[in-house]
Amino acid sequence: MSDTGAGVRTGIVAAAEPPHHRRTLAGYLLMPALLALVCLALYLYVSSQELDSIEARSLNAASLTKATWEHVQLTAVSTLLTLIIAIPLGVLLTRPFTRRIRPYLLTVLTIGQAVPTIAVLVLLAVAFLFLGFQAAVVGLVLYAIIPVLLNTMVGLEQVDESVLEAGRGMGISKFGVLTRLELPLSVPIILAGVRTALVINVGTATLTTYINAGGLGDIIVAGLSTNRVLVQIVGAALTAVLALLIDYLAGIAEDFLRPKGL
Amino acid sequence: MTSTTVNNRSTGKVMIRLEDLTKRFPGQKHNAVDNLTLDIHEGEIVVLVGPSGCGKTTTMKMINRIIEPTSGRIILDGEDVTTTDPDALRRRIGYVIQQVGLFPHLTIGENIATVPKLLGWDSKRVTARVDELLEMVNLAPESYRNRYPKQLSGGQKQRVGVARALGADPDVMLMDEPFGAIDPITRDRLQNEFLRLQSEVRKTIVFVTHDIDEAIKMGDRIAILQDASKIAQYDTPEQILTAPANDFVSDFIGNGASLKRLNLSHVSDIELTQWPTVQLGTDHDQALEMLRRSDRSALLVLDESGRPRRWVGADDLHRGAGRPLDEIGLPAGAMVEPRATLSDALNELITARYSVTIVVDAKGIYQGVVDIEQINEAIRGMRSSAVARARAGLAEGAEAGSTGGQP
Amino acid sequence: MDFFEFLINRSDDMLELGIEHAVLVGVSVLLATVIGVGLGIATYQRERPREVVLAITGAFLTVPSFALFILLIGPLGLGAMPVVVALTMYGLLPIVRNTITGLREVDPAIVESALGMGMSRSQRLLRIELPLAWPVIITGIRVTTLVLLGIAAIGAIVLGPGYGELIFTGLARVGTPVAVNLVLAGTLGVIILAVLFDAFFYVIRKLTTSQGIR
Repeated sequence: MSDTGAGVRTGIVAAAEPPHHRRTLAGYLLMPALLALVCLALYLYVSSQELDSIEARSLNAASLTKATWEHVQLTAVSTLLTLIIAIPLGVLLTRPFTRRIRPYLLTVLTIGQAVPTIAVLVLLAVAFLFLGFQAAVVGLVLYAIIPVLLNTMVGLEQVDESVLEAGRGMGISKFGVLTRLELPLSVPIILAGVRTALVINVGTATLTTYINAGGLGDIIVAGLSTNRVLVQIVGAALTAVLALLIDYLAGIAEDFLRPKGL
Repeated sequence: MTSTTVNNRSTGKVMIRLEDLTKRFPGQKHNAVDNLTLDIHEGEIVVLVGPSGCGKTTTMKMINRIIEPTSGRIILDGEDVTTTDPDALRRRIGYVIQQVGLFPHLTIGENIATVPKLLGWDSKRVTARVDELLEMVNLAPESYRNRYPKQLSGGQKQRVGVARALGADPDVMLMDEPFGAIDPITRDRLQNEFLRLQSEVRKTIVFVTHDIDEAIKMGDRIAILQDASKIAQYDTPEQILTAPANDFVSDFIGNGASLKRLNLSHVSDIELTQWPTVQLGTDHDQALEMLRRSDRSALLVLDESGRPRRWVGADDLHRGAGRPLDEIGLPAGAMVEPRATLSDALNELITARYSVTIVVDAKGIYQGVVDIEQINEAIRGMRSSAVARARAGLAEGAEAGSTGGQP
Repeated sequence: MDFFEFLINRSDDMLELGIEHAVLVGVSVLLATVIGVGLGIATYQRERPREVVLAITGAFLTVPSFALFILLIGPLGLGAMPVVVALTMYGLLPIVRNTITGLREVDPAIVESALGMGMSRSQRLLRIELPLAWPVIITGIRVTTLVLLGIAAIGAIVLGPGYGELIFTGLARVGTPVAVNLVLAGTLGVIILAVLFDAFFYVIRKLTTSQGIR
């Protein structure tokens, strides 16, 4: 194993380096303005087209709203569950008793990132005939756990040892060191994990259409199966807009929740 | 006096001339270096010393143009290098920094070979040069050549840093607090080694430090800088200690100026006092008679070959009647050799039984003694000659090199 | 049918799809490395360009792969092309980010002494900065490769080559006994490739990193 540390090995060390300044107001407005522009252009283009009955079935306010709402629900529920499982697990796996196996564990987890999301979802469907919203959430959580877990572990390992030692030296208990020093100092990394989970889940939720769990993937697949390019593009573009918007919001939350002085 | 050796060491040729050198960093109100003019003679170590933020490092880094001057000229060995190719310029100048900055992915040998390779030397010549330099800095080539920097101690890294700077045998070296990050004991040893090395290679060296003691020890000349690299005084260490040009210099030298000055003179520079001595085996009555005729309270007993053995006083001679001279009295301690500094002599003197320091040659043979009066006199002598020289210098007007930039 | 029997029966298929999958990802990683390291070198010294490049490559990675594949059909058609382009776009962020981080983490004293010894800009970059940043850069490439192996499977939606084909065929036959075997085989194939690539990068990193910084 290398002595450059687990952070470099897993390649997520750089995620802990935040931009050195808060964005300017214009910087904050750039992304939403861009996304609104895309939506507007899409709306104007679709309105200008003569839609056939198949296209009209997908491209109406009700079905688009439904698909979007399903997508948001899938993302929110799976992200919450991912965090509930992955962060405590990350804390547990960075306790001293795992020190020996940790490098191997990190390697296995890193390689585990290669397992295709689609395979996880499809396996649930074909092996257990497990379909629908709940199956989708299980699949999303299974896939998103790995990156968030890696983030948390690396984050906790990066907390300056001397700070912890000083804490123990002042008579703070082990549990106190964890809750009062380690976790607060790892907040930026944990926040980055939240953002990672959101982005991954919003992306993977596009595929849950294949196991009958809805989402914006429904629109794309409807377009694919009926060979309607316009429907495919609207579905794909809306998916991209939603993902970028969620990432943008998570980024703002990160900026404001990060403890001052870090 | 050591000041004459300074003149001997320098050939008088100006190696580096800084002319009206000015640096203003973008967005700053004041010049970091303001209109500095300075001549640096070939073969001398010139120390730039001053409080932090005085611009000494900026000044040094303008010589190899790591920092480009805003205005003014840099003349190296008669050639204006202010606007020539900076990379070519830097290959002619050795550069040593406090953090050393060895390349961690290259071996010690490859580190030292950097500039020779940049200059296109053939590999045989490079290898020979690397080994030569390692020997020069007291690192055995066969065991260090293929090691990596992380396998060396701080002091060893600094030695390699010096060897690397000497790589292509440049005429000029720039050293930015080279011993600043090293523990005091190792630092002292490295400084001595470096001075010995310099006595062989005779480079023109610009040395930056904030430590006046280091400046006095290392410098042939010292430029004491105040804000914006204004020269408060540019002179030999002796002159600066004995005739500080103004209050800034006196303050910067601090209270210990007289003591510091003692570091500059050697026991060999002063005339030794003779102390009454007696050969081992002389009988006691004869010894008492000698003691009575001298105005001292003890005799120094020497052995057959002339090495000091014991101090014996009148009481010892009376009480120890019949016993050989090397069994009575006190053992003779507090000895120095002629090349020791007066500061060393004073140190020994303070703890010695009869308030004198015995001087012996390299074989340990008695030469004479130094007492407190002589040290006092030496200090007075230095001061008056320095004052005289300072007056002479003022009368002659601005002689290049020694008065540049004085207010 | 037993899963191992299935694998043996289909071993020719498995090998062929494996090679396709590996080539697809290998080409994308190569492209992403060339572009990513180039962008990193071009921007690491200045804050503004650095942030712009990171924001844009970050946005690429945020766009769901399914959506990106579909959007690329228009300009690039079906098959390997849209997949390679999409994978290259996804691969940029980790490589650019690690290149920038690696180069910025080089001790300024080392760069200053290289400068002071008269090394030109390109000599400093090639002989000093890149070799020192290399372990971090190659880690970025390794992570990129692993993530792309997984995403490449989704490329089967636009008829891209590789193990994704098995997974989508399995999906189409949901409820039949062969479906599970097909999906498992596709997944296993990707995991085997991941282990092989990981070992490959481990060896490459060992061989290309100086002992002095290991």
